Amino acid sequence: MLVATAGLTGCAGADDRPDGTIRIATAEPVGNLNPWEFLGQFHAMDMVYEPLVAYGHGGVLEPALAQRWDVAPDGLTVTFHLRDGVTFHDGTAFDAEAARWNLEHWIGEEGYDFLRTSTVVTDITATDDLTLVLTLSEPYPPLLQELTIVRPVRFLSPASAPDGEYVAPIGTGPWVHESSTDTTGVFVRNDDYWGTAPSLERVELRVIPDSQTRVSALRAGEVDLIGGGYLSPINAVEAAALAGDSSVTLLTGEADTVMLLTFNADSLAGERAVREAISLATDVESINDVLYGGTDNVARGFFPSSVPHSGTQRDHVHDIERAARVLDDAGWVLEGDVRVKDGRELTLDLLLVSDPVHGLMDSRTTGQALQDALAGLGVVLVQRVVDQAAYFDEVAAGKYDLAFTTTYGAPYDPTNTVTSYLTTTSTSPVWASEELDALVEVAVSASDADQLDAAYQAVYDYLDVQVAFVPITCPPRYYAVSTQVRGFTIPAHEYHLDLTAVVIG
Amino acid sequence: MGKVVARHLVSAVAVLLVVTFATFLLLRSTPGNTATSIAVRQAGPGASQEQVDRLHAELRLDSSLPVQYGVWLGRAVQGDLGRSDRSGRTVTDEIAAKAPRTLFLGLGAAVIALVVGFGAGVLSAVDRRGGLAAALRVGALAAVSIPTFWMSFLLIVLLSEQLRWLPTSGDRGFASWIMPWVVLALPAAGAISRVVSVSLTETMSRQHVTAARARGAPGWSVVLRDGLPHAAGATLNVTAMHVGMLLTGSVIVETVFAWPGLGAWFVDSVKFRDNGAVLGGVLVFALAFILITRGIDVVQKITDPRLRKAEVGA
Repeated sequence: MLVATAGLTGCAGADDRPDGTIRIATAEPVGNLNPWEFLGQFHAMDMVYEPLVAYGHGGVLEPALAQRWDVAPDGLTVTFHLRDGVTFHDGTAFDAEAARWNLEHWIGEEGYDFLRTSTVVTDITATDDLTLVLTLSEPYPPLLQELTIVRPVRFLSPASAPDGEYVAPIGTGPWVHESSTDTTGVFVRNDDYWGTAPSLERVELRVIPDSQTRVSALRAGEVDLIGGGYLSPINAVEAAALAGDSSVTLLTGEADTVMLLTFNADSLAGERAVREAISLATDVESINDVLYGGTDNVARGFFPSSVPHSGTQRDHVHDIERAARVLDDAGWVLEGDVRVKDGRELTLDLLLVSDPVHGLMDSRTTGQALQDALAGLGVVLVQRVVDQAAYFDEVAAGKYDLAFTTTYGAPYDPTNTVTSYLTTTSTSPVWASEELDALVEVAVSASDADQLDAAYQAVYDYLDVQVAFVPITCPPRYYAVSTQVRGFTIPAHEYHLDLTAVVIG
Repeated sequence: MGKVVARHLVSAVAVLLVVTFATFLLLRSTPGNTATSIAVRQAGPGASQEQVDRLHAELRLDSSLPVQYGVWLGRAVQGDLGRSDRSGRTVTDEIAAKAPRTLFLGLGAAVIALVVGFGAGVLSAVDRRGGLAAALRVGALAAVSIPTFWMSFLLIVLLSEQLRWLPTSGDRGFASWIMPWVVLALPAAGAISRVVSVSLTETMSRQHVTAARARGAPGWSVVLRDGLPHAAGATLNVTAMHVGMLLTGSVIVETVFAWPGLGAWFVDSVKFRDNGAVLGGVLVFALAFILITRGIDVVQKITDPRLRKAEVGA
């Protein structure tokens, strides 16, 4: 029956691309594009809405809707000089008043205080049509970088929220939202774009939740582009398969995140010797070689070197005999197959996520590798796999001994990962102490480059002394395009796609 | 008749109450909650405790279980299933958008499962000792045993990547429906074919069939007139079970073939601890099961006069 029907239907999918259209696979539907909510797909929002300041390659801040900006010597005033002649997709002018109106939707508002910009800005004034002044209660150098993220910092046409309530996604970006459903999102070129308009006329986002199906859809010619950490992730195994496929081009970008093995300081892993032994027993090289696409991806610090102020990268030491000595010296005596101290067995609970999204990596196979390595040392590792919602609750409640987590990546780092994972206010800290809080505060308050490097290095050195985590892998950023796509380059960060130079054919 | 309908209605309402309350209990006793999921979506995995606590209060997750369930039930009976915290849309809108897709997927698969299952079962019973029956038995075993996701990928690689006959995924016309229908139908078809084959083989050895043959009735006529109706009871039961499973078991198929129906939506809602959506989904699935099982009861009474008599007697 299959063959008979297929004969009637003929080739399906590969030829349904209108001229000037790129079809991009996305794991999630476009959803609600209200810029002040957190419901919509990142890339769809990024295509429509623009920031004042853009995050360029390597963390270089670039002009976007603001042509330039001045930070007062005392750090308490930031003045943005807006680009002239910019209009929203509905023809409304983008000026300082429109910018102020947008910022007031979230600055100082409850629910947005996870961005420190929201709490430190005390006044927003449009001094003329093209000048916007932010007054701060204290200097906050990461403010400019925080303004590069996708939400809630970008700009909606005031005409699209007449009573303050969002109506439709009208921004200033190079793409205009045409329609979206659970299965697709269609965007057309903004011919009045202030910058260089894309060559392509249309972008079609096709929702394909399963990563293997996305790879097949690319190979079958049904989509032209897959990849990116949030758009439609490609894992290391799929990347290896795509690298050997002549019908597609695999692009590999430098990692901007690290997967870390973390410890609960209130468990048996709170003992430094236990953490040091686990670190020494973890064969990071082999784990990367077998599971994560090769030893080039071995992590050597809290951040990969692509992140600004990532500090000194250090080679991980794998020495199982030394690990055993460390435990011996700390009084953990091997009794049969397991080590014991004060009548307590060295049994640890490893919390793993069954459905890793939101930037977390799949660490289940790493958990198995770690379990084997530690068994040889007399440390029993019990794997407990839960879903993501349970994972965050269990970590927040301290119901774990070991877990894996992943840093945020560009454009958030180093500030956001450091403040979210290394402070006592976090629900899921990688490490937290009052001493570390103070070091983090110095780092996020530093303004000149030398100060920043030194302050962040002090944070990393502190973590190093504590053996606060084991860096496992820096996942490369994979994108794959059909051979018909030309001009595509790896974007500056995983929430953005630069399609300006892309042509098909 | 009126009494029977009333009894069925009361039992249906009782089932819905028990199922939704049990779901409420499970959601509350499982680690993870909506507030944490929203906080992580907003601020990433390192969201602050303050943010989680605030969302907890906003969503009224602190109030007692009976109060929360009571509030939900009070609104649900008025047709208001609340708002999905994951998408921002109302749960009724979500169900209205997704239920027709799952129904379409399930009905297509059910038709294929019934036609293929009955066909294979009858052929297997007729050709009991032949090679065809053996092949069909192996086929049925494979259909039931091969994991759905694996079968899906095999078909996608062959029919989409290699031969480019069918699209890999999405809802883009008849060609795009074939693989999801077939993959979803195969386990049910395998099970139905075995049950039909066994019941028909058993029926065909009964005296009335032998008598029909002795009267000189043609072979196929004996199977269709004297065999199949008697084998229908057991078959209808297994069919009912599998049609119900087609509706709820479509999660993998919906995910692999990018078919945004109720199954995948429900699982994603559970993962997010989107309580309103989970309860809405459970309500729809329970209702579907009740309708299917009651429907099959009716069909069985039509096909088997003994059951009608039993009901009258009761």
